[in-house]
Amino acid sequence: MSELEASLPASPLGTEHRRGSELEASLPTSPLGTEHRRESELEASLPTNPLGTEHRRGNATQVANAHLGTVELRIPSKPEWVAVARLTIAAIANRLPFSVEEIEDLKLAIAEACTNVIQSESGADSIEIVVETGSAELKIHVRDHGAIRVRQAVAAPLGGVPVEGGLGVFLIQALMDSVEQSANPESGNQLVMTKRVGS
Amino acid sequence: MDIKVNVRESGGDAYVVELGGEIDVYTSPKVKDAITELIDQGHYNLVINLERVRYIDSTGLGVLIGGLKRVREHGGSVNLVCTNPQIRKIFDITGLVKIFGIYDDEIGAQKALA
Repeated sequence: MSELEASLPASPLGTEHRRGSELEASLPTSPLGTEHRRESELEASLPTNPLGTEHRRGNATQVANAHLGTVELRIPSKPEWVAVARLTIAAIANRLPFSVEEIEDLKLAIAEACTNVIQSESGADSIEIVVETGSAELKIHVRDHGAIRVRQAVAAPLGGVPVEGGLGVFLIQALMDSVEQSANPESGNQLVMTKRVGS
Repeated sequence: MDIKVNVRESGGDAYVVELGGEIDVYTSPKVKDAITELIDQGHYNLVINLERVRYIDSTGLGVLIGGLKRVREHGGSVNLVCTNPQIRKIFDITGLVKIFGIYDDEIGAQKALA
C-alpha cells in the first residue's frame, strides 16, 4: 500500500477496492441500506506529473512525493453525504502540516460548498470534488451540473438578526485564502478555494 | 455522524436544549424540530447548550437564528453555552456574537435570561 493509499479514510463507510494505483472507497450497502457503489465513489489517483516531478508508481519515489497528487471524490447531492466530504478533506489535509484549526476550517469550507449545491435545489445529482494537493496548500474544486447559478455571500449584519441562510459562502471566504466561483452551461457550477499551510 | 438533542426544564419558564455531536445540513432539522416544538408550546426563554457540539455549519447557525427570531417576537431570548474555541470562532466570524448571548456555562446563560 502506498503512503497515499494509507492516508485516505480507512474505509469510512465501507470497503475498499484497489485497482492499480487507484483507490476507490465505495460507499456501499451499510449506511443507507442501499447499494451506492455506482453513485458515489472515492478515487484517489496519482497524477502523472503534478509539479514537474517524475512519478514512478509503486516505488519509493511515489511514496516520497505522494502528497503532491490529486484526489477526486464524487458524492450524491444529498445531506447525508456531506460528512463524507468532510472526512475526506480532513484525511487529505492531515498529510500536510496544517494545524488542527486549519483542518477544521477546511472541513467547514468544503461542507459549506457542498451544502450550497444541495440547498440550491438546482437538480444536480452529484457533487464532484477535486483536491489538488501541493506541498503547502490545498486547492479544492467543487463542481455540480445543476442549474447555473452563482451564490453571493451574505455577511452578518452589524445590527439586528441576520437572515437564516446565505452564511455559507461568507464563511468559505472568511476561512479560505482564495475563493472563486464560476458557472457556465458546459462545465457547470464550480467553486474553487485554496487554503495554504499557516495562513 | 450523529446529533443528540436533550430538552429539559431549568426553572422558571426557561428551558435548556442540550446538543451533542455534529450540526450540519443533515442533522440540523432535528435541532430545528426540538426548538420549534418548545416555542410552539409557549416557551420563549431558551438556553442552547453547545458544549458537546463538535461541529456546526451555516445550516446549524440558521436554525439558531430562526429560533432567536421566533422567541424575540414573543419577548423571549436565546442564550448559548459554548466554550469550544472552534465553534466560538464561527460565531465571531459571522458576527453572531453580537446577536446571541454566549456564556461559558449554563448558570450564567440562565441568569442572563432573567
